[in-house]
Amino acid sequence: MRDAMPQAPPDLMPDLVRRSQPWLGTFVEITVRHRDIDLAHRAIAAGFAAIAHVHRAMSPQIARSDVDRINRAPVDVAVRVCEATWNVLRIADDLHVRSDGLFDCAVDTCGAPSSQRDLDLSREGEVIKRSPLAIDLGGIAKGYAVDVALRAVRDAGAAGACVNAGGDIAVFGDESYRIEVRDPFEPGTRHPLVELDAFAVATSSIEECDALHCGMHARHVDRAAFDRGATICVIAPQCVYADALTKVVALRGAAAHPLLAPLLAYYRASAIVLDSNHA
Amino acid sequence: MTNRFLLSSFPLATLAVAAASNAFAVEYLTVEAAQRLMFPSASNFILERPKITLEQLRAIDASTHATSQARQFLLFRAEADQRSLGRVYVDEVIGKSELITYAVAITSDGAVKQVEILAYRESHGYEVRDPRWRAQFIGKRAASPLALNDDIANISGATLSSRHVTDGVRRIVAIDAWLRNEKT
Repeated sequence: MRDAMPQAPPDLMPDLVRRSQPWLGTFVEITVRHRDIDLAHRAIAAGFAAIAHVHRAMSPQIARSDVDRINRAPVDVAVRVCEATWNVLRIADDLHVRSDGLFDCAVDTCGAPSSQRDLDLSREGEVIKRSPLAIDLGGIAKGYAVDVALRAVRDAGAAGACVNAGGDIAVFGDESYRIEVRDPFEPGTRHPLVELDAFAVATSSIEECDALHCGMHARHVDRAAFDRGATICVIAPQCVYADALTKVVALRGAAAHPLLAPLLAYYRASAIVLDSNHA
Repeated sequence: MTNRFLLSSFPLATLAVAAASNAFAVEYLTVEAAQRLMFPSASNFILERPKITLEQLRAIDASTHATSQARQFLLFRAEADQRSLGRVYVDEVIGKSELITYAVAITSDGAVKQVEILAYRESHGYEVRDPRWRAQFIGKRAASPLALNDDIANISGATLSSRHVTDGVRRIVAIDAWLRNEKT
């Protein structure tokens, strides 16, 4: 049966070890290129350990996670968070400022609009809420997890690797990887997106952005600008920015793409929107 | 004898063959490879027939809100020097439109040690019947060692599928707790 599959000549076959585990509400897939299979498995284990740490620190559903403790904390009380959560909050803060408040990981509670600018991050490793808000890092943590996992895999000695968390992808290694996106309206067609070489890409569907409990003010998704089911891809040097910027693009809309140009340029990112008009 | 009965009543053995002819399936790990990764110090993995009745399974399914209808699973005991290190369960769930085989390692005190996806395959779906969709895989391995996004292709769909795996793990943990209580 296996003979029926297309096969490459043996010398072209890369040594790939690929594993998948359920984390971050999706399947995380780690692929490692190496000649030593034991080393590859150790590298993959290191990658999954990094992902698991982000999951446990930032899942709002896990009791006593950093995000859960922030959300339950009273106003003006400092909450100590781990380095990973601190990094993500700092990046979120930067994105919030640079996107004119468009990127916002605060969740509206009790019908009252809230904003992450009420998070006081002035003391290293500590978060103080200045208003009774809750946060959800769902729009950014997955990309961050992909970045730290890739670093862990590389540090463990892998020659090349790819981490894919449900469409948030980062790669490193000598080989470039061709990333293709399946056409949301015509699943039989795929569009070459980019030759990825030590870069990251994130993809989000409009529905996904809409459904995200990430405090990205889903009601503001510019429905007029997109077809239902449109796919947004952002390519950036780091997956955390690619991930976050897909949501910003979704909020701004394709028609307003020029408005996003300075923001994307700052993060050395580019955005591609696949909707029914893309052909 | 009991082992043979369990294997033949479970579709896993046949699926491994079916998947080989299936270009859009991803097979990550064999059962044996997963066992070795989950309990590296184990010398033996013994296939056990879980001493649990269909009624008890249904009761556990009801209490964990599983919609599995008393689905069967494989159970291996990891041993080293005749000492039990824990168990490896192999189970399947239907994701969105795909069949997912996964393994759960549980330590002897009932903690989840590791979850690994063993195989992920589209079981049906309109794309599969579309020759253009199938054509995209021809020469895939030669041309691009990693054509990403093929495999766990339906990106937004994966969220639902992974929830089914998480639910499946919860059910396995409940079954494991029940089996351990029975022993003591």
